[in-house]
Amino acid sequence: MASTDMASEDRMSLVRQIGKSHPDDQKLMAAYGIAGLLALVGAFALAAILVVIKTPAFGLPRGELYYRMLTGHAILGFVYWFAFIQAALMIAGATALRNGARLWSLKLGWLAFAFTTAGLVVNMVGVFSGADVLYTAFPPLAESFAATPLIYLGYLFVAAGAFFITLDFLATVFTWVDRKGSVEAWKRMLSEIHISTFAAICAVPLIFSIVLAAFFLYVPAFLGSIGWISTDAREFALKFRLTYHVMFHIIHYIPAMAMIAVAYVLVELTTGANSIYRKTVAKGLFLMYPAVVPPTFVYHLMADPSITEGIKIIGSALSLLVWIPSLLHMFIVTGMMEAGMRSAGHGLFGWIRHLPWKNPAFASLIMGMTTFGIAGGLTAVLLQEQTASLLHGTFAVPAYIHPMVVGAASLIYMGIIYYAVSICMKRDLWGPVLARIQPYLLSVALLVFAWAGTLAGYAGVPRRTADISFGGRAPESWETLMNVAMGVGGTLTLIAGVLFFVVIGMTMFAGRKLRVASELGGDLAMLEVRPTREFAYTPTALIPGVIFVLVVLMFTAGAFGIIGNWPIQFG
Amino acid sequence: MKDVKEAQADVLSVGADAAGYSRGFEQAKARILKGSNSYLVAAFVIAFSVLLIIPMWAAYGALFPKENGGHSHGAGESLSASGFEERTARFIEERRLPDGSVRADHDKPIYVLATQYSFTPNTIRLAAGEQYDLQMLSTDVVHAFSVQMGDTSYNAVVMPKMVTALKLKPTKPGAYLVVCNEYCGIGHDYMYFSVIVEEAEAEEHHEMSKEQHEEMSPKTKDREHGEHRHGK
Repeated sequence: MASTDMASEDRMSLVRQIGKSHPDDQKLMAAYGIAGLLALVGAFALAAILVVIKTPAFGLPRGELYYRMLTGHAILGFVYWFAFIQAALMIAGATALRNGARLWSLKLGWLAFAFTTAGLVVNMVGVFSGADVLYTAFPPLAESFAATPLIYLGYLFVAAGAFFITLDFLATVFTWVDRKGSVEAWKRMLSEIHISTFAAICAVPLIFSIVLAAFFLYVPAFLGSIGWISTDAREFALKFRLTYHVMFHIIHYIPAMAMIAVAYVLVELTTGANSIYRKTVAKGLFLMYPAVVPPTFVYHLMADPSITEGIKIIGSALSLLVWIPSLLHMFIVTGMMEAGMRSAGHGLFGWIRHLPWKNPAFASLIMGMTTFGIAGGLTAVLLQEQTASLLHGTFAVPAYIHPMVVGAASLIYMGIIYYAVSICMKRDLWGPVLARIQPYLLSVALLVFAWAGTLAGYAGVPRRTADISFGGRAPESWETLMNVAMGVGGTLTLIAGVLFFVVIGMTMFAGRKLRVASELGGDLAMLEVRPTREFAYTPTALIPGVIFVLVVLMFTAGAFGIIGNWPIQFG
Repeated sequence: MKDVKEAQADVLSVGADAAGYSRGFEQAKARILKGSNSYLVAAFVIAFSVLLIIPMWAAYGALFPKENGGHSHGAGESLSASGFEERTARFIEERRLPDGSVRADHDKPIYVLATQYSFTPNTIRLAAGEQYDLQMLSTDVVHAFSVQMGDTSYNAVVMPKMVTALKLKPTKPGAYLVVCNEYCGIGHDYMYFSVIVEEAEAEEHHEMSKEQHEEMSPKTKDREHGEHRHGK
């Protein structure tokens, strides 16, 4: 019994640790979190309009409205929800996971927040003033919209915000080492910190690269769009496209890293499982991202004439490497659960049944990881030079990116938000039944969207097109597939989003008050695992990886099969 | 040091007595590292197996050999829009049929100009079994060339200032819709053209019947869209 008490004491310490963060730091985190949630609410609201326009059964294709809403939806969801929530997570990594340590400068943190918020406002004014440029805002197309300068200016603000908060985080990390010149002291600090805090440190060079690329892109683009400098528009467009894709590619991996970092915290909070592997393995895997990610930007340009074939082939080979750290992290997180659960005497698969499936944060974690694996597999054909032309620019792109950023990253963030709101506001979750359903519904909705959307992509449905009828010339299958993807998948996603907003909103204002943060009860309570034996074997955790590898090989073979049988051969 | 602490906790958790503590702790440490590490090594092997895709590229080349290699739209030629417009105009003038469509010649390049929101020419006729060179350029913004082949498509980006050069060989007769799948402005949804692949022998009959021309003419396509899909 004593051992069980000790284990549960140990597990509760993370909740206490998070609860101990300083109220001033918590306020900044809360500001970022709430701003992020508002951006997400906006992204979902505009998505509702997109669902109506893009579901052929409704018969309401409205081009101008569609492109405006699509621009706003993507900027709110992909740029601002992530910018805000990831800043909050970064602050949490520097304070809440560091036993109440303080942020280096609160003022700098608030300045960063002000810049990010200003960016959001400027961008939304731009979108609703008629900058129908989509979030990519490629010149020279963007120049034909008078409000385009506001899009570029907003992006410069959000980049400045990201720079300041990352600088603040980095300065905070520096305060953790007393003797700055001592390698030993740095090694000790890096080995002591939480895996997730280490992940945030690994993201710093990537974030600085994004900020640098953003300034290279948007300063001349902004000045050009207001007529202060004149450039050869087409020449500039070519350079912009290349630099843009370097930046855009790296941006994708910040949610991937942050999501995995959050997964390590969630697995501890929900199941109490601890790593059975040396923590340096997980930390080392995070170091792979800054090494592997930047050179793999080429895979976004596989159908471009401006990239030589040799570069595309090298890019394809390198692109395969970006799966590896994520696959191994998924193995470690699953292995933590497996070893922890099986130490209580459960069998080879029996442990899965005893997981806390009713805990919404756990459901977010497990469904998020599953969706991440499936969406990752769907990228296989797009990453390869020889097969990318089958899907480039088709609906298969949003069909994998939405499960990735909503069904995986955002869902896992939602999982930690359930805890953050409960712990920091000392409130029990409101509407536990709704909260239980929400992660499963969101995940299933995105998987329906992914399934029908990917089939639509294979059938040739173009992405970013309001009316896919092409004067009645489009294949009949397009309508059916888009009805399922947008009508069914899209609508279910909206419902799951509303459930999340209602549960979180009501918890903030009407959740039962807790005396202390560590009192967490109900579904969010940590799983009680009573160890009866030592267990360090994780065979089940290997299975998802095996399935993933087989699936990407099959997708590749399938793509080759389709391409080999095209009625028009391209070479 | 960390591993020692973790192993110590594990030993305590199974209730080892004080006498056997030291021995039990060492054994547990050895078991934990041995047990978990072998699975970790297996996970690394599985994760790196994604690189098996690379030999598949070679296998694909062997299964579907192509006369001009298997790779598409490599680095294009940098060309001014006006130069390309001239070539396109000459190509259309030389090969235009009375219905406005253009019949391509397999030993001369096909030129297609992409402009907001149309392709020029807007109907191209090819003969099954022949190989063609296709060159495309945009005069304004980035567009795309997305050929619909029934239940699948081929997609390439068409840029300003950089020619997209493709080799294509139609094998099955039919009418193929080509759409722009890169957002190019508010009229993007209406940017498309047709590629009509005819039986090889049809190419010899340069004069088509009036009825056939009407059937393929852009004005009547809206009414007869069903026939303009790739039929199998």
